[in-house]
Amino acid sequence: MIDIIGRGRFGARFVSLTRRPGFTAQALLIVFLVIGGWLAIDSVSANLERLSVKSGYGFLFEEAQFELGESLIAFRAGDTYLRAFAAGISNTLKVAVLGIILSTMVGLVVALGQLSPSVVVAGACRMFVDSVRNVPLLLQLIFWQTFLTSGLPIVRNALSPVDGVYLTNRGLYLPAPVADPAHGSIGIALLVGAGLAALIWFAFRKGRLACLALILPPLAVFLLAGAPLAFEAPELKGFNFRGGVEISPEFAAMLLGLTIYTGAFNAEVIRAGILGVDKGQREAGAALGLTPWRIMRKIVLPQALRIILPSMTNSYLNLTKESSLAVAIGYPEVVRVSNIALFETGQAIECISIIMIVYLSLSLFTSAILNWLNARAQLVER
Amino acid sequence: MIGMKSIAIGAIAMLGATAAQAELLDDIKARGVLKCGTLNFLAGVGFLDDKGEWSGYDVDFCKGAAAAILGDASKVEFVILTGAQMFPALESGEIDVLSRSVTQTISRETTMGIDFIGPNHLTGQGFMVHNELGVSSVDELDGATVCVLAGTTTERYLADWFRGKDMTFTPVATETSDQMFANYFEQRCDAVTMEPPYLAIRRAKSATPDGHTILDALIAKSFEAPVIRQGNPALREVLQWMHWGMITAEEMEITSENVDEIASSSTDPVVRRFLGVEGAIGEGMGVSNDWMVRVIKSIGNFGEFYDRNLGSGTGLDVPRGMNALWRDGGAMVAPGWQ
Repeated sequence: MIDIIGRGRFGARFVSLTRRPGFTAQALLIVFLVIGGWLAIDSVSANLERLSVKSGYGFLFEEAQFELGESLIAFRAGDTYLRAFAAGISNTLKVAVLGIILSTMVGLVVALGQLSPSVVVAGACRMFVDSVRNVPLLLQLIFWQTFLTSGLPIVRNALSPVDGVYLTNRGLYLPAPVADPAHGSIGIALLVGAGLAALIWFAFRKGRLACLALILPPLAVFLLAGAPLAFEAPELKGFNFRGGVEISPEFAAMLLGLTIYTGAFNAEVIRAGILGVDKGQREAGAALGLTPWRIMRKIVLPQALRIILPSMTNSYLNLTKESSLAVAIGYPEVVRVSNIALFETGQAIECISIIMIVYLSLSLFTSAILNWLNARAQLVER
Repeated sequence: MIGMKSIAIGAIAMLGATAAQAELLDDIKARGVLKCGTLNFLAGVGFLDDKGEWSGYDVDFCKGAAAAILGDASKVEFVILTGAQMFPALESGEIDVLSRSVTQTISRETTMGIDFIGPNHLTGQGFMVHNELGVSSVDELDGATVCVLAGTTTERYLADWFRGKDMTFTPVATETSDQMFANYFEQRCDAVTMEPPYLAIRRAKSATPDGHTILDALIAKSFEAPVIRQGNPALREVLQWMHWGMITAEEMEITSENVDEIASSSTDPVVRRFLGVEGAIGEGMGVSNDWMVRVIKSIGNFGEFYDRNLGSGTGLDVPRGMNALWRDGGAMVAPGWQ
């Protein structure tokens, strides 16, 4: 004992650690892992040097000589590879975030449909789930892409249901608001509104008042500025429509495919969650005279959420990772950027490691959010 | 613990094995088979038919290389590779020779640890457009949507060229050329860009062979060449001189039909040295003395090689152009065989 005290707190902790069962085995394991890892890195870098292959991430700041087509973050040939990767990541995020939201909606609707007393609705939803879940996603993506490019008319024969809206096999073209200096201040007002709304919600828990606080400031600024809202309609100029907003068939195919495929899985998760709520709860609600819709919304769904959330996390992670299949149909997301950077620079290890890091961070981020939500949804037991 | 140790030792041994490497030519001879990376979907270039037979320009080069090194054109193991896989496969040693219409460029040769052989196919990058657009020159393509193969030099040249002309375009880039041409023929794109021989191949097979024009101008040179890993000088010499040997054979009018006869009857010392009847050029290079006879017998001289795969008699009829001999107005030349 005296000996241990003499070494101070750290020493005592260390000695007690070494006395744990299996200490030698675990320490040796760590030593082997470190040596193995070091040998692997050393061998790879020695081999790359022998092959006189360039290595390192310096290429990210060199000029990239390709075009991506569409991206949230503007990118043109001549920008850096770093920007190309940012543009690719933004496209991945766009399709993943929209896919997660839409697939949840599809899942909820189909799950409720499957539980519906109507035999036809329940049967149709059952069939949807069974057929969609059992066809590989890649095939579905190629199907949607082929369907959109060969099923829709070419640019010069565009379908135009409403003036300014054009549907072609090169995408859907919509009118877009023309930029106005007042739009900046409206955006700031929206941020202020969002802050106010959050404050009201957390302080007073008043939903309607919070909504009002969100909408009022931007609306006031908008009206004060004289309602500057002009739309620019797309126009056929040269080969393509110019102006307005464009939704490409590749993006649409990606979003449709991911939404429908993941939606079918989500439907099963949600259905299981709803069925997992004790039927006594439902009966108690009915005994209180609540309508079936209110029972579902106020009693069943909140309790089902606890069962649903962990599986949904899984499903969302899958959706994000599966967005990498986009490379097959030509949607320019992060894998496409990495492939072309790999081709141009030959730095395979660096490019692959970037995609791995991107997907790993996206997945960890998504699961962190959902774990937080899950913790909040759990029963608080006293 | 013992299990853990043996795994670690095994892993270390494996890492060590890749570090030690002899000249590839000796490895191929010891193995008795040449591993060749190529493609399987372009008739005339690299194609695997429904009977499991390989054919095409890129495929034949590997067959010729096997004939030169191993004495038998059938001793090739073909590995099908996509554009993104091809360089990693070559670097890792999965294949010995990459013959997949790879375009030779200075950045590739100087930064990637590879050597180009040849180049054995001189072409460029052109456009095919729908006739109904009424486009007759590449300069009218401003604002066009262009179908392009993802991860190829064509993609880079396309961006460079439009940028240089201060014109804009929207790319639709896909991984496979099947997908790319499907997009083009569905009019998802106004134009499709690739080397004219490949455009001609697809146009000939399409539903509307008359509905498309291949524009005259080329926006970039594309000199295609087989590739090997750097640091294998003996293999490089054999393959480079095999390419020049095929050109020399065409100059000397030696074909796959008459090569045996000329070898036995010719009195010309240059021809006799070329075919290995005299001297010991082949042995000095690490192959047999009659290696060029075997190459010519299996894949022919350069003219036969071109015509069988791309030229007259294939239905593709891609003119030889730059790929003709220098004396016929082309750019194919070979150093002397002294």
